[in-house]
Parts: sequence; structure tokens; C-alpha cells
Amino acid sequence: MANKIKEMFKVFKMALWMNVTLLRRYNSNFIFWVIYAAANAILMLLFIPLYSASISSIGTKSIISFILIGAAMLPLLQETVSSVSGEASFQMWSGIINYSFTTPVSRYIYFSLNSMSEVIISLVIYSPIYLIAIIFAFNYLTPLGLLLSVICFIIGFLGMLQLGFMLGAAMLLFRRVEALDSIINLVITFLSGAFIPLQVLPSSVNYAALFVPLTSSLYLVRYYLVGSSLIAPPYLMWAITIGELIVFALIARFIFKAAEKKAEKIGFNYI
Amino acid sequence: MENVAVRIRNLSKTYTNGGKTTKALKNINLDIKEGEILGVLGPNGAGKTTLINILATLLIPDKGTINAFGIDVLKEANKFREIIGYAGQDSEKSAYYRLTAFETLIYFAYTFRDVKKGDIEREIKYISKKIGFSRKLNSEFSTLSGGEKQALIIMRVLVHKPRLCFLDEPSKSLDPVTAKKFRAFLKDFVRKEKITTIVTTHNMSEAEEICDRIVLINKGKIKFIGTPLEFKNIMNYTDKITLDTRLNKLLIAKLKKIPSIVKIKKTTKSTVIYTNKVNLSLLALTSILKNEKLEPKMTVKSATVEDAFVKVMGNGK
Repeated sequence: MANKIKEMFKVFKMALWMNVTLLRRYNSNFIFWVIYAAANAILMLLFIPLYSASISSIGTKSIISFILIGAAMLPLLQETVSSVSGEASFQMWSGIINYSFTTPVSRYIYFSLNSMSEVIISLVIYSPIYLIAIIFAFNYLTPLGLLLSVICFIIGFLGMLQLGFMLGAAMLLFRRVEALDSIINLVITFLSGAFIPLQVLPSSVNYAALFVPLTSSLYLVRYYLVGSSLIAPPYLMWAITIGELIVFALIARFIFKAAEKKAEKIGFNYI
Repeated sequence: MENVAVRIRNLSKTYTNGGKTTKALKNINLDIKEGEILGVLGPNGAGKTTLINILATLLIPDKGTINAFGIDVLKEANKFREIIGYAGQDSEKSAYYRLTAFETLIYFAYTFRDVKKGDIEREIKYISKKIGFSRKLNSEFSTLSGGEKQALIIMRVLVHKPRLCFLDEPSKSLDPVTAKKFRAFLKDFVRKEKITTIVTTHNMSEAEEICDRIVLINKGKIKFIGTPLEFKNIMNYTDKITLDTRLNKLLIAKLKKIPSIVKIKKTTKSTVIYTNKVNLSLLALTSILKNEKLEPKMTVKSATVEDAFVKVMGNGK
């Protein structure tokens, strides 16, 4: 167990090292990402009048924080999905998958930690937006609320990671699944509540949206940070969030294993 | 008696594609000795890469067993992966493009292997100096030439000093000078570090130069196992003497009586004499030609692994 943790730490450290090395080498790209993040937030803030009209349904104490949390979380967690499938796709195309498959490190751990390192970099990029969101929510924020929102954020990340694995496995099984990637992104954009507040939509859409692993965790993040309304009592939202994560993790693990088995039967070269 | 590092028994593999099945390996039995360099030869599609991919845990066979250093490779694949190194044929793409050669080696060794960073850095500097790669260490992978990328991918395997390494056509993109330097280094390095090495190659001179033993595979079956010398002995001659003239029947009859001459072949403009004792044959031949007042131009060429390969493959078809 200790060895496994040591190995995970090492893989994560090296993934972060690689990302930071490339970020420092191509620092203009970093600047463009910061501009993109800022533009994303500013454009979302243009919707304030629209959100304000529905403030009673949203029930938030700070509409700016509410919007900024969505603006920062959506692209960041969408990247989680794409980073796993993108890495799987790149490794298959480049043949690195053959090398990594002949090492003792599990692909599941490798892809997860690689993705986590990319999210950490993105967190740095999006951190000013989170900071502004927190500043606007400062009067209502409690340390416990902040802690719980961070936990919900992590659960949201893990849930999206599972979606990424499913997409990565689909890539191994079906070779090209860019269309599936687009479908997932579309569903996340419109049903996670990040862009369009679900509180203003019919409750049936809200219940359907709970099948997106990001939705319930985003509901809870906003609930703890700015007191926005929930579709169900907090304990039930927690149960849904954690339950979904477990189910998604099991499905992702199963599909990923199946994809690896297929690859071992026919060879990665033929996938 | 030398220790057996890898014991392969009844290994078979079939591919099914579009309803069509291809038997890539048929009941392969092979013992690989500890510390040896084993060359796997064969024409395209013979099953060489399938064999190496199964051994490297990339593919599962239909049946058979593999035991390496006391590990059941098919049942304890992850334990086995701790002691192996693998370089496939995708060398031109198989790394992160924007990392430098040095960063690539550090990243892969430290992420995937249980090694100390200091040791790896020392090893990278040592190997790159030996194969003349030092000045390329700070170049990005994308800017390296095909041969340099190939050299880097092989370095990636060697820096962590595996007990068993698999190299699939290691010198395919290297220029002749680098290839020669690389072969000399590889032979020295794996000997010094006692790394059992399995190399697939189409390059017969490479096989002859670095391999302790050769396995020849064709259509999924082993056709030959032995040293390069034993392989060459498949031919019943050691050298070919080529005369730039067609000898007449009478002279050929005389030459056929010399015991060291095993075969004589006439082409449109020359006569080729196959011998298993070149010095004796040359003495006798010179004397006969002198008596006949003939002074043809003579060239002597030793039999090569390539000649043996052509002979065995020819029979196999």
C-alpha cells in the first residue's frame, strides 16, 4: 500500500513537472490561457441581467459569485474529460501506449494523475476568477462552507475523471470517438448548471441533469459558497453526488479494463 | 551450464480480422539464456513482432506458457514488467514532442521505473557520450532526425538497466556510422550490465555482429536456433570463389575432384566455386589454372548470415 502511494505521488509529481516545464517554455501560451479565462468570466458576467430576473429561483446571495463559479468550473472540469481521452488518443497514435503498457505503472493511475496535474495548472489559470467569486461571497462565507465547497469541487473533478475514462476507453474500443466527446461536452455545458442556472428550468430537466456527474457537485459548491438553492435537501444531494461517483467509477473501471483486454488480444498496433 | 532466463513453451497466437484468421505463432518452444543477446530473424509477417510483443506483455497468447526469471509472465505480468524494458517500432513518434531528449529520458525513467534521479542522470550522460548523442540532449524531440529519435528511444530502455530488454528493429533508422557505433555500444553495455536482450532485425550483418544466438522464424514457426556461425554452417560451404570466366566442362570435372570444393555453378560470364576449405581450394585451383595457362580474375567472399537466411527461407517457401 505504501509503495502504491509512493508510486502515485511520483507519477503525479512527474506529470506536474512536465506540465510546468512546458508551461515555462511556452509562457506566451500561458498568457493566452489567462486571457481566455478572463474573457470567459467577463462574457458570462454580461448575463447578469438575465440571471437577476430569476434571482428568486436561484436563491443566491451573490449573483456575481454564482456566475463566476460556473464560469471557472465548467471549462476546468470539461478539460478533465478531454485530458484523459486526449492522452489515451495521443498515446495510441504515438505508440507511447506500448511503452507505458510494458511498465508496472497502471494506466488508470497514470491517466488520472496526469489529468489531475493538468487541472492543477488550470486552477492556477482560473484562480483569479475563484478569488473574485470568493471576495463577492465573503460576507456570507464560513470556513466550513469553504471547506465543503472544496470537497464538492474535488468530487466533481473525480466524477468528470470517470467520464474521461469512459471516453478514453471508447477511444480504445472504437478508435475514433470525437463525436462522442462533442456530445458529452454539449450535455455538460447545458445540463451542468454552470452556464444556464438549472433553478430556472423545469424540475424534470433538473432531475435529468443530475445524471451529469458535475451537476450535483456544482449545485453543492454554489450552495456552500453563496447559499444558492438546491433541488433536494443537502443530505440527498450529497448522497446523489457520492453515489454517482461510485457508480461512474465502477462503470469507467469496467470499460477501461475491457478496452485494455481487447488491446492485449489484438495488439495496440491494430486498434 | 548457462542459466535459462526465459522459458517459452507451446506458444501460439492467432489474429482474427474481418472473419479471416491468421496464425501468427504456432507452438513456439524456446529457451533464452541469461545475459545473451538473442536475434529474432525472419521475413515480414513471420511473427517476430508478435513474439516480442507477447514476451513484453503487450499481447496475450492463445495458449502456451512463459516463465522468465522464475516469474509466470502471463499470470504475474505486473511483477514481470518491473524487470523489463521495451522499445517498439514507433520510435519516430513515441515520446512527448515538446520535451527535450534529456527531459524525455528523465520523465519516462522516473515516472515509470523505480530509479533514483541522480543515477539516471549519470547513466544518460554516460550512454549519450558513448553513442555520440551528448550534443542532442537539449534538443526537443520534435527537432530530432529519425535516427536520433530511434537512438533516444533505445536509450530510454537502457538507462534504467532492465534485466531483460526487448528491442524491435533497434537500428532501422540509424545511418551506417551511428548504427555501427550503436551496435558496439549495445553489445558492450548489455554484457557489462548482464542484460538479457532480445532483438528483432532484418539486418543480417547486425545479427551476425551482436547476437550470441539467432532464432529464425517463418510463418509462425521456428526454422532455426543457434549461433550465427552454426547458422552459416547451414550452408555446406564457407566461401565462394568467383572467376570472371566460364570454365569448360573438362576443367570443371577436374575441379570437382578436389575434396574441399563442394559445388560449382556457371553463370553467363563467370564460374562460382563453393568451398569449405578456402586455402586448400585456392592452392589446387591456382595450380590447375596455371597448367591450363589461364589467368582469370578471382574474388573470394565468405558465406554470410544473409546467404544462410536466403537458403533457409527459400526452402521454407
